[in-house]
Amino acid sequence: MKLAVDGVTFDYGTGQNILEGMSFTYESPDIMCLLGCNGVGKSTLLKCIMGELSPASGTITIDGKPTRQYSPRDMALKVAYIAQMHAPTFSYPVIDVVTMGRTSHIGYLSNPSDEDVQFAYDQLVYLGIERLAERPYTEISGGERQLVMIASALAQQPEAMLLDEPTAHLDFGNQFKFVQLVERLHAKGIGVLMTTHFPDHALLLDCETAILSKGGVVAQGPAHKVVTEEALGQIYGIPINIAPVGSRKVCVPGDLDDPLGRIEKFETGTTKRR
Amino acid sequence: MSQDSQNTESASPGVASIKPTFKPKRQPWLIPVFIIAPILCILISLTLGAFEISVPEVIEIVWCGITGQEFTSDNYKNPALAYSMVWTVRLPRVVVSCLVGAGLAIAGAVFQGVFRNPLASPYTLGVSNGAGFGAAIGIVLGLSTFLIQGSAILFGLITVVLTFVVASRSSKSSVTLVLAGMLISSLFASLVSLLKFVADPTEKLPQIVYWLMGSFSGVSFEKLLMILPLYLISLVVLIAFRWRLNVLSVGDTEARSFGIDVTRDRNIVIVSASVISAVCVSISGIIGWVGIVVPHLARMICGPDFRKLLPVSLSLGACYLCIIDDVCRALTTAEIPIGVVTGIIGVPLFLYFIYRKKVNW
Amino acid sequence: MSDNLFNRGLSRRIFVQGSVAVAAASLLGVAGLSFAEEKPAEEATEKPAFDMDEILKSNEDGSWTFTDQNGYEVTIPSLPCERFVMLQHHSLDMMCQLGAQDQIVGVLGKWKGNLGEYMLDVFPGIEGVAMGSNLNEWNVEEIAALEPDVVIAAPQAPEDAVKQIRALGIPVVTVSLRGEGKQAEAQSPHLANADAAYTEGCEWAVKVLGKLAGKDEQAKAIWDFVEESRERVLEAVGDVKDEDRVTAFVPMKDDQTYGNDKYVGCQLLRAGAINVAAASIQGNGSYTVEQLANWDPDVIIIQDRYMDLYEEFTTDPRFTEIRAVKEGNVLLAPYWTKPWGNPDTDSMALGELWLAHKFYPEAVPAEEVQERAEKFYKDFYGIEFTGTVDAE
Repeated sequence: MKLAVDGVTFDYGTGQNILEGMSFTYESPDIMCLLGCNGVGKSTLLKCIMGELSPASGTITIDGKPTRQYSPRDMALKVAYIAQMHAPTFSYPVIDVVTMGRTSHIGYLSNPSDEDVQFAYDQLVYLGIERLAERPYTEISGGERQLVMIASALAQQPEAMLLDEPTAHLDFGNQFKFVQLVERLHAKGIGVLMTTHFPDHALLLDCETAILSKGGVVAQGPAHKVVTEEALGQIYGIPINIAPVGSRKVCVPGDLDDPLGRIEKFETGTTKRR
Repeated sequence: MSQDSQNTESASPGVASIKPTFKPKRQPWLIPVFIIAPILCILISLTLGAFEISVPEVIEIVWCGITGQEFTSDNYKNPALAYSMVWTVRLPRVVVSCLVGAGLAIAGAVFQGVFRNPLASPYTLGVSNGAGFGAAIGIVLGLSTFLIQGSAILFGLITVVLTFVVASRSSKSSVTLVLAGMLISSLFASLVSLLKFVADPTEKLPQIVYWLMGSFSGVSFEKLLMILPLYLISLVVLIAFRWRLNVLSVGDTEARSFGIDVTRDRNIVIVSASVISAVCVSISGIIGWVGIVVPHLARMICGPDFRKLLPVSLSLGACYLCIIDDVCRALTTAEIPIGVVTGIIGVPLFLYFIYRKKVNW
Repeated sequence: MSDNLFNRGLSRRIFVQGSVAVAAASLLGVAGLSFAEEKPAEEATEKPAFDMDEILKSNEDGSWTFTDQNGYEVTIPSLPCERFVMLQHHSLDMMCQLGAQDQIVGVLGKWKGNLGEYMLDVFPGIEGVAMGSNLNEWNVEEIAALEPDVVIAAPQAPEDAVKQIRALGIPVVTVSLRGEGKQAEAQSPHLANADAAYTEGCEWAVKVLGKLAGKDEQAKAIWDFVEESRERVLEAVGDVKDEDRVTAFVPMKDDQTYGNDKYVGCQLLRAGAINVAAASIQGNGSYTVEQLANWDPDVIIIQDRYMDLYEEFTTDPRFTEIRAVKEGNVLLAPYWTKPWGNPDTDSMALGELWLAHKFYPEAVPAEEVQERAEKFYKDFYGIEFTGTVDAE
């Protein structure tokens, strides 16, 4: 699957553009990270790609065909989309939620067959959460819920997944496990296009990365080339340091010696401080 | 491409035999219980009424009707009158109360699902006030009962269309729909008040008030036949959409990602549920709470899965309203308006669920 | 409740044998028993005997003071009144019988629904004097603007508006057509003796209106006609035994019917029948088809202002096995018979006779009813009688 976003502009009818001239391309089964500060319109961009919002100008194509020409069903066979936070209303058992991923594979008014349910169960097994199968979706933790949504997306058998800040609500450990999972999905042949607030994740995956700002895409390329101290410093407006730890590169925000501005205080102020 | 890699990874030939399989929990008693319950309710209801007919005689009358025999008995001056009480007075009423209960319950379950709101009801989009207005206009114009019924259906649907028109000017979210429904609904409520104000206070006003309170006292098979086609079509559509309803009830974004045309499918089910509500209201008047209490009861029994929820709501709704109507017509010699009783019974029942934390959403 | 029915039968027989005036103390005693709880004893004893001549007596200065049927003392400064506002439909009809149409300057807006199309014949100018006000909704300014000498009100008239009109110095006379009964129970009264109450109430109404309009002689003639008709009915069907009475049911719209202590019950008793609903329903009340099936009456009487209802009873499958329907005894009561909850003069003068004819055609032939009706219309309304006794 080849996704091309070309010159997309969007506003919520307030006259103020959220997206302006946004252009980039993505091809599955690559992994791609979209980096950008709050309010730059990362989520809006994904919603435009999914057709949930219509851009004011610009084109979005998948395999050369504009996305708005795709039926929801055909679209579902191309990409699965997982939004940032999902607040469920009804206590469906997890297996039912995962089976819903099969909807685009069954007839319009049919019910999922036993095979579909088994296929959904297989995805839970793959993610190692089959013990949750009968649990109500409303009663599991946020991290588990994220995995269940991934399982649903897997059941959908798309060519790529669009994930909107998938690690935003995960604890430190789960965040890392999630990055590992993205790599596993990639190895399985499923592309992942995700927005994230963690440049480390892009560096860890060393994947294709696009850096977004108000004016559009600032840079696109492999993480080790694009995720630089200058580029990040510019978009986040703080000093950023990228340095190796062992064989890995990590990203540390702020001044390395005095991140919180305490030393300056010491010099100008009293001797109360250390 | 993903299909291939999937297969090689999760079902490699050597380990196929130990692949974990999923065995869902089943509720085998569900189907027989929920088929038998309404039938039992109907049979019991046929024995109730101010006109005294003993239980064995009711059974005999039912049997005679089914087999086409003539009912004879020494206990009556006119056995045909007893026969007629069962077949033309009680049966239509009992059947209609079951159908209305089932219809309102199903519509309620659907509305709660698509709006993901436990307080959504068959009347959320303004059907009741629209139908009430239609009936009130019919009454003020002095139309026949059939035309009053038709006018109620018509205006019930007009309100829903208006609600959609108002909502379509804004975003596609279901919250906008509910808000538009509230606006249109209160507009029609005001129009009903206006009609009540201008209606002849000695003749028309009591009739409007009586209609709005709801009653099954005047039902006949003719009235039933008038609503049956619309009722059945909507019912079939809703049942056909049971899986899509599940997906819709998880969330708009998720449903869209799963490959559902959310706006179209949601509109189809909302219109179907509104049609059912409108035809129910047109025959019985406004009966509150059935559409809220019954789906919650049903969800307690079988969970939120519409594949089970719809049939269970159907059956429970039928029993619930049938029993309530029995109370209305058999508790005292005079008729108690059913809308009053559903409120008096429904609200405490609902409070009980909340108190016992049985209501899950 | 069966006691109640028994009393009714008893009271009927007593008045049949006795006079039309308020019945003997023994009757009050017997009837009073069943109402002992609801009705304080003093109310029954305090009530002075009904004396129409006494009521109609003018003061020495030519003014007239009397108590209306709401218990309110009214003084009319000078007679006859030239400008009437009629907000009570029975009274409006009586005014037409009295030939006082020209003195009416305003009538209730819904006169047609309350009385019927025939009013156009008996009061040709009626559409020109129709008002926005009605039985229970009064537009005080509209009424005052007509500068009436007197306003005739129904018991359900709005109290505040009545007070305001009185404050303007315009006398308001309430006509309830009942000689007793509490005002709070406007449509569903408890009466010690319904027949006496309605007889007295109707006589009072027509004679008071007659005096107000300066048509005393005409009023007396109407009442004499009523008594004449009643004597004829008594003679024809007065000896019908209770167990032989025709059982009758008189439905209204919206599953309502006239129960005990409504005038139509008295009308039926006089015509040799009995209201089946009286045993279990007090005043106006709702009934169910099943109750009707239990009563299974000989006849069902439907007023011709409720044609829809007639249609419903004759075609709805729920009613087909009810004996009256099955045997074709659903009677459409013409406008001039008025089997209503409260009596009009023609209910008594023609309605009782017509019912007796319908129940006992040999005892009261159609020709006789026709003749009486023609005479009533010619003598009182002053027009040709165009109705039919035995409509198909």
